[in-house]
Amino acid sequence: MTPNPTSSSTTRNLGIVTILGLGLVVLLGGFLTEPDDLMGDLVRIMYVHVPAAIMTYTGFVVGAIASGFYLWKRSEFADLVAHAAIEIGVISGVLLILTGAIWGEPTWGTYWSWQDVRLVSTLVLVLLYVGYLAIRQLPVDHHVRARRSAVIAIASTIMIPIVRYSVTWWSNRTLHQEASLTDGKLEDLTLFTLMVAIVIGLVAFAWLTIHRFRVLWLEQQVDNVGLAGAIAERRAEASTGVEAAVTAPSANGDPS
Amino acid sequence: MSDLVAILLAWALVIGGLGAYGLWTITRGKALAKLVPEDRQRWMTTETTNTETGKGESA
Amino acid sequence: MLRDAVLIARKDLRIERRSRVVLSQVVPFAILVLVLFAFALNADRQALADFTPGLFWVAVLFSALLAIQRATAIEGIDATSDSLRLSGIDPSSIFLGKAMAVCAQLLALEVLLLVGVFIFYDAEVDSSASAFALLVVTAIVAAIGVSAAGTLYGALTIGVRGQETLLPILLLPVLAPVLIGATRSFDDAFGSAAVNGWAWLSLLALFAVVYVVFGLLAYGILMEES
Repeated sequence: MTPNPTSSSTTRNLGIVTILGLGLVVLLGGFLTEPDDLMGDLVRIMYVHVPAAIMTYTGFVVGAIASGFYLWKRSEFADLVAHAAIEIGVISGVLLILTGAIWGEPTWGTYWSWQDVRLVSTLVLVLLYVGYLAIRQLPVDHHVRARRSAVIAIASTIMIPIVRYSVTWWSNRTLHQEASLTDGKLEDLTLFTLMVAIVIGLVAFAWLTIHRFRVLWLEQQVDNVGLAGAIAERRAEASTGVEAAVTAPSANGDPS
Repeated sequence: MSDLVAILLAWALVIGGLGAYGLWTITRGKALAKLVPEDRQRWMTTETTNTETGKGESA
Repeated sequence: MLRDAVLIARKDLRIERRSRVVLSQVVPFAILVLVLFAFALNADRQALADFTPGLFWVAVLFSALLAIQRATAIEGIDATSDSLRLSGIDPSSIFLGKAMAVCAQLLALEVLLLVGVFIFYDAEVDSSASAFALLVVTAIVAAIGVSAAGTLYGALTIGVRGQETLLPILLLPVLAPVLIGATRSFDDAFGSAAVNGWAWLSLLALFAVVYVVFGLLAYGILMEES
């Protein structure tokens, strides 16, 4: 087995928990839980939909915290963590919207409802964070990009309540289920399954974030090595033959 | 769209989507690791404080 | 701080007065958008009147994008932002000044577009002092919010190729709450929907305050030398 450069014992354990937990969620959510009184088996979509929602907003919030930390300490790691977390937040957000639409069609009779607060506000927020990912692709100096990204990540997080409130007022009625955890309507096993699914979602989020972070870190190393190599060659030409161990301060013009 | 199709589609999207993304990070990590000198691959080495066991099983 | 900001704002407005880019390009564009909406809605007078508030604000946002792009571009020319930074003026003042200049241009655009919708779309404001006040205050508060957010996000795209395509995708989702709030507020002023425009105005005010404060704090980070 070839070693996996982005895994460690921590992530391996997280990965094992994710896979075992996923099996449990499939068993519980797919077979053992009772169908809902109103929507029948369709309620089973909840066990992937709700974790996706939690992952989306966790990604955005973790991204903002890491960005704040970056601006405070100027830690390259925090910058990459922010990138990783928000990227996963956006992916989960897209999945969230898609599963919402799939769920909406048979239960509400429509894929999309402009009257629904969570649908519309999630869409706007995901689009907002797509902008963040666009900034991450900017062909500028690492530090400039990191600073700009951090500012956007924090601004976008400030937007979460603003978007939520504006959309809530805008569409006075909502089709969406009220938060179903608190109203005591759910059966015990259903609630338990949902909790398990959320926890597994968060574990998967941690696994993905760590892996993505390490890939980003490697990408940055490749950029640096490329630059350091170029500098080393130049020096070798200049006859001294300095080792390629020069660690030049980042800066690579290429977006990739 | 029948209920069953809707449920399967939703589950497949979330698990498949995130799973594919996870696999992508692994393959991309492997490809990139070839370009980075050993001493800069923090998760491959045992000395770093970041990981407890690191991985001795380097190929 | 305010004096420096006024200085910057006057500098930007003077550049505009000399180059006339906003006057010769953004203004015609704004009018063009109004005309296109009329075509899109098949010149249905009733529909145009009903949807005037929304159409008005979409036209404002599109024009604002161009104005902000222009304001950002003049920073890129001759590395103006570098010399500004070296001049020792506080970044917060620079932000405030640039936002004020954009805000002044936006207000002018809004007045023009309002005249446009009155002429083209038969828009009518409720003949009460409160409706008129709502109209004016909404226009001003929204302009402040849009220019503050626009100046901040514009700074993110300075010195980047493909700036023209980047700014809209960054800024338009941010401005979505402004579009919602300002449209509803105008709905009240125009009497096209029974909503409480003043409540919506408070959302716009919140947005404006958040982005002015955030811009004052964050602009320095963006201006830092790499």
